[in-house]
Amino acid sequence: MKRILLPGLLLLGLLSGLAPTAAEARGDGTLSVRLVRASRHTAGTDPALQDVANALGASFAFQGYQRVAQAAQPLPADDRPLRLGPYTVRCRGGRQSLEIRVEQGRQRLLNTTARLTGARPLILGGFPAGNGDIFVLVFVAR
Amino acid sequence: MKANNRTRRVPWRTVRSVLATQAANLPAPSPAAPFWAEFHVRRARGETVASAPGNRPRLRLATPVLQWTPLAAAAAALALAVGGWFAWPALNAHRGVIRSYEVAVPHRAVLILDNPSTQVSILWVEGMDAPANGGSES
Repeated sequence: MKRILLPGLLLLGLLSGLAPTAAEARGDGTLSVRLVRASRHTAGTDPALQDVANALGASFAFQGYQRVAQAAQPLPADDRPLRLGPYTVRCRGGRQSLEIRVEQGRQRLLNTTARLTGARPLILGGFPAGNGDIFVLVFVAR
Repeated sequence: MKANNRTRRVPWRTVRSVLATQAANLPAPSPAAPFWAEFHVRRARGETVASAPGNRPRLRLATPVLQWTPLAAAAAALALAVGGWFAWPALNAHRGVIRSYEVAVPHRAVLILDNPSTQVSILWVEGMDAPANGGSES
């Protein structure tokens, strides 16, 4: 018994490390979408962005980040339109393959398909906000 | 006295007949005879199991190997775990977070960043030709 205990535990640890989490395997959870204004002039980070402040600060060189709008929907997403400021975001699918469409009015801006792992943020950025500022969309699945 | 060097010639049929007779008189080869003799004796006694197990002969060469087996298996599993830990990002490098994208408006460039240190994935469209909006709280 002892002979197989240690290798068994090691193998179990290996498999558990490689396997997706239960939420990922089921494809459930909640998708949070935030529209963030990244400013070159206004310093400071909105407290509502505390969970992604480090990721934003380490990835971009803007002075400040302000949350403009927020929406959430359960996963797998059902293509329901989410109104986020001037943009309409439609998401369809689960964590493994989430199809995202960003529209502004009737103008389609961006389509992408992404895989969300854990609570790792996905940022779609580059939407002009005027005055040198940029809008970014932050997606987090929990 | 003159030696008799004459050889008696025997017909081959006679030789064959003699050899066949000798072969017929020989007992059939039976290498398993001792086993079956013991088997019949044991069956007559009603024995259904081996009589006395005694000390099982141990293979001197195999014993140390078998004793090292758990340690070798543990080392192999550990090596696999460590190797997997380091190789996993490389094995999945082709499976980025962003699988596909399409920018429907004129733009200058698209950047895809998978930053493992900050645990964030970015799809950045540079120079997007879209109406600028101030945005409003919703």
